Amino acid sequence: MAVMIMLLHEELRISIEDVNDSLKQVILSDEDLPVDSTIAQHIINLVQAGGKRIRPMLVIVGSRFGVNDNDQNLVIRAATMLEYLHMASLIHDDIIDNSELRRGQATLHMTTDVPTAIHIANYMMARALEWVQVDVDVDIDSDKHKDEDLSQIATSASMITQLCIGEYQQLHNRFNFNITINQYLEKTKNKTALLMAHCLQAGALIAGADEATTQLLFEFGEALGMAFQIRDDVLDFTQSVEVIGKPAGADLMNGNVTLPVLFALENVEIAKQIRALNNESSPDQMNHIIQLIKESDALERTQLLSIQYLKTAEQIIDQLEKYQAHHDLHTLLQFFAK
Amino acid sequence: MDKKLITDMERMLQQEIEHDTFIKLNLNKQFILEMAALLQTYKITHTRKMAILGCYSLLYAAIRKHREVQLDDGSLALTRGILDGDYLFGLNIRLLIQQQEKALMQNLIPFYKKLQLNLIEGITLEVIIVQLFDHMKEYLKQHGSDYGGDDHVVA
Repeated sequence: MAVMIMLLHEELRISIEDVNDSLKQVILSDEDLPVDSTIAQHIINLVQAGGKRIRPMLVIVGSRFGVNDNDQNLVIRAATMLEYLHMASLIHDDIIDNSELRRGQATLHMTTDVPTAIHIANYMMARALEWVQVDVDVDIDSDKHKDEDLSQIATSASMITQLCIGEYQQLHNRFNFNITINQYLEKTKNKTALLMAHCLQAGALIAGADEATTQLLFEFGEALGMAFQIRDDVLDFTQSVEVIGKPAGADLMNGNVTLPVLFALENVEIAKQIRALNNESSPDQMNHIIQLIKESDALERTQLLSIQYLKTAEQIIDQLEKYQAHHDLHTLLQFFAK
Repeated sequence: MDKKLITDMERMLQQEIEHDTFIKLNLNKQFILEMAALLQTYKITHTRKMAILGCYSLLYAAIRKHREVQLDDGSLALTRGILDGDYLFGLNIRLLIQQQEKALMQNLIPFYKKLQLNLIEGITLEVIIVQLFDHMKEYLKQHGSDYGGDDHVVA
């Protein structure tokens, strides 16, 4: 997995070290938080634990479709802020899902406690928003330009509400085996795809891309995000705890009805057993159902839908061929297709 | 006058809050009344007073939601508390942008950040609420005249 990640940022000619340095700088430059404080250390540890950094990469790739060359400072700032929102939302997700591990390491609330982890995530969101708005005029000549860019970055931050809506939709449908595929897709869009779309859009807008191009990049990001999350739902069934840091079928154990479950429900025999599950089902019952789903055609059908979204994304790239950076979109597409 | 401001603000927020959240704002009336009364001493348009009071109320509600989850052991209540707090904070940002309250945003976000550090340090919700009110009071004292009206009209 690590090799694939390295290849992606290298192929995109993005310095992941610069992104990580920027992520650390957000904390190290906060005058309200001593660098040697426990809170600062927790956050630095989170940054150092790594991550795919997909969202910052999307912001940077989006900026390559614009006409302004001098706004790299703002592009990196937007990329950093959006990654912080993502990281903070993962801390809250881990509490909600009662996850003990992320990327093989103890989750923040396991290291601290739930209240502290909630407030650290809140601090991270607020600090990133504060940081993105200070000292940005170093490389910018026009105040008006700067104001518009800052507004754009802030607008991206209001995406938090959409992420929450996806989580609410998931929460309201725990162990609800009657949800439709459209409801699942809507939740997936809110929870994952829209943030990725906004990342590409933010980069494009900061770099002064035209409206049509920005819209196409948004749609590309949405299609890519859908493919990413749907594939993630397959991996939840197929990968081991060593690889994804949580046991196979963890989503179902938490009551999250994902696409493989919806497809498996179309098999009458399996459906009967799935519908018997609830939040008091034993681990053995859960593991039995997870095995049935893995042995059915549900994972393959799910994978096919993920591929369909990738094809949609590919069609969008065709409309952006006049830009040199369209090659970067192909690189992203290939990464998600692996 | 204060009552109309509060009613209009509550209606505005309830319209903004998406149905999927099932959030019913249960604001501390005394707390909101005091801020509404303070706002009425400034010559600021009704719309902007609504926006300022709305953002103040959302921040208060977000902090309270996250603080209250700690008192409950139920996983569903914990989940709802976290989501509600996150959503209300996000809605606060959305409202600040919609209402073009850039100066207020640049002022409120760093303060919200400091409040989170205070909460980690164990400062009680009651003290945090007073700190939030005092901060808004100071903001209005410094920026109340920037809203196009006259200076502070009541001491």
